[in-house]
Amino acid sequence: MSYSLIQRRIKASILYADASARNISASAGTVIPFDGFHDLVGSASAGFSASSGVISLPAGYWYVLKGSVQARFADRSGHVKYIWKDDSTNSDLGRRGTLIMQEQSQLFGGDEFAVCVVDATAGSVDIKLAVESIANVTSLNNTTDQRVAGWIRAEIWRITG
Amino acid sequence: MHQAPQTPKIAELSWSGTPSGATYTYSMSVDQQTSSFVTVSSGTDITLSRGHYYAIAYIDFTRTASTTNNEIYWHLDGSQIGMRGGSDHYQNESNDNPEATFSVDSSATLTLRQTAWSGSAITLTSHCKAFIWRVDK
Repeated sequence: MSYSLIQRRIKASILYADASARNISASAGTVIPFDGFHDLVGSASAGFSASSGVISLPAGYWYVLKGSVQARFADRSGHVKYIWKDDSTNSDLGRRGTLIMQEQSQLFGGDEFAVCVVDATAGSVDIKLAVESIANVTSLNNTTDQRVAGWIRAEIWRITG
Repeated sequence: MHQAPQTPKIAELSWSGTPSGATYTYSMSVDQQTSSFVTVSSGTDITLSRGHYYAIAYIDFTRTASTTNNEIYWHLDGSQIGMRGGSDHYQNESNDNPEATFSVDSSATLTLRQTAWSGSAITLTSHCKAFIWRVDK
């Protein structure tokens, strides 16, 4: 399956990861429990695995990952920030994503996507999407009024270096 | 004309700066790239060779008042290109990222600039990253 003609001309596999858990209680440090991988372009998903949300990126490639969460806020001041981390060092990768209510101005802000580029050309790399800070959130992957919110997801581009 | 599939190149950059006026050019530094195709000169100027490009600058900030808003665009050889970004999508209750797709025939200079403000600057955090994608032309 391919997005479009132009993407068929790019040598990359594109897949997305999701999390089957629902109504996830979260606090700072919570690892998003990704556990499913689905092909969008190409057929690379079979090579991916996750354990307790830690995604193992197969060796031999560069990767671009874009992750975001779904949350139900307890009130308008709710927020959650999350960032990709190298599981072996717990160090941050790329930039964090920030989820706030669009209608509620805050004294902080940022795009909702946590984005990183990972060099796994020399060996597989284990990464995770972890909550950096969270407040006034009922739960993640919340099932109330879900029809308008989507789910936790990550887009993964696998690129030959 | 048919073109063989090709591998995209991707560069990750950090951007930073503290505007003192309505217009300002942000500093850029290369964090990593899948193969070398991006260089930065004079602290602000991204030098690009012939190719097709997509550039996006993700914003992350703090501010002292919710009315503090900045507008940001990519510029190619000094000309504004692409979609507007900024805090509160420049006074409209959301955050968005400047994005642009463009082609370069020989070489060009890409910069990221604040183009308008509400009278003061947002404070950028270390999570302001730009990603530039390239394929051959």
